[in-house]
Amino acid sequence: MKKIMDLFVLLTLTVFNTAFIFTFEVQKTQNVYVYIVFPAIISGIILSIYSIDIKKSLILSIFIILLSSILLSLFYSLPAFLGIIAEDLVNPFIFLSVKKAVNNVLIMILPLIISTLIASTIISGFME
Amino acid sequence: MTKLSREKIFFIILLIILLLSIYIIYWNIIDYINIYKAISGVDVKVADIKLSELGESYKIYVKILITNPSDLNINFVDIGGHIKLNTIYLGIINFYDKPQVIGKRSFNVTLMGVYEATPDKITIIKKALMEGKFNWEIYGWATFEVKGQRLMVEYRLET
Repeated sequence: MKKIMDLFVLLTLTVFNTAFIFTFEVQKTQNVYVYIVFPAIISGIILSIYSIDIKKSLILSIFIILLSSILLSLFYSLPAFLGIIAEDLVNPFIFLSVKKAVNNVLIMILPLIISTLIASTIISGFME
Repeated sequence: MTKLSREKIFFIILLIILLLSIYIIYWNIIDYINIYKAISGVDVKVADIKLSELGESYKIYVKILITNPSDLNINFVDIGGHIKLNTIYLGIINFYDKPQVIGKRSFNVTLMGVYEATPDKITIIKKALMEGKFNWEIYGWATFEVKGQRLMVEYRLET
């Protein structure tokens, strides 16, 4: 039961971050703070509320980063998989989409980890 | 009892976040795919090739037509082209007066490209004129952009 809940939190926060970053990319909003930094901070806080243990929440946040980069590169390269793009452009397109996804996720790493650290320190202080 | 209810509230909040995020992603995927469908639906074709002779200098004019049948305004980023005559490579076509935007449902936006023969290529054109054999091959890529998403469209003409 605990493991399923872990997976559920992981999945939810990954999808949450991915949704914001994907909106940032597709709607061309150019507002990094609202669409990448803010969701990362929120998910860090949610993680530390979920598991008071700092170590566990850090591991979960690293998994969130990995999974959202995978999910984002999948979404970005969707037109290539659906056959919309000319055949000889498919490989460079997938390469560029993975690059774009990694670039976007790199912005989110620092706020996520810092907010996890700070929030779990504060919350574990309350628990004692 | 208190622990159970805390977990339940947490679960419900997360479920709401998950469903909202999936809805946002779904909505964005449709937008994203529409953008790429619109760009890859743009038709670029070579309509006309003319060779003009002024004394010893030769210029080749290439007329290109762009058609955008989609419902999105597509930004025109750049176009590049190459020209071959009787399987011999001549050079790069220069395009002037490029449009900024190919509007939605606009047909046959015209673009003129000019190739000016350099002295070493003039003999190739002269030889073709003497033989009366003109097998043009014109090919290149045009780049289009919608909301920061770029895609190239190929065009090619062999006569």
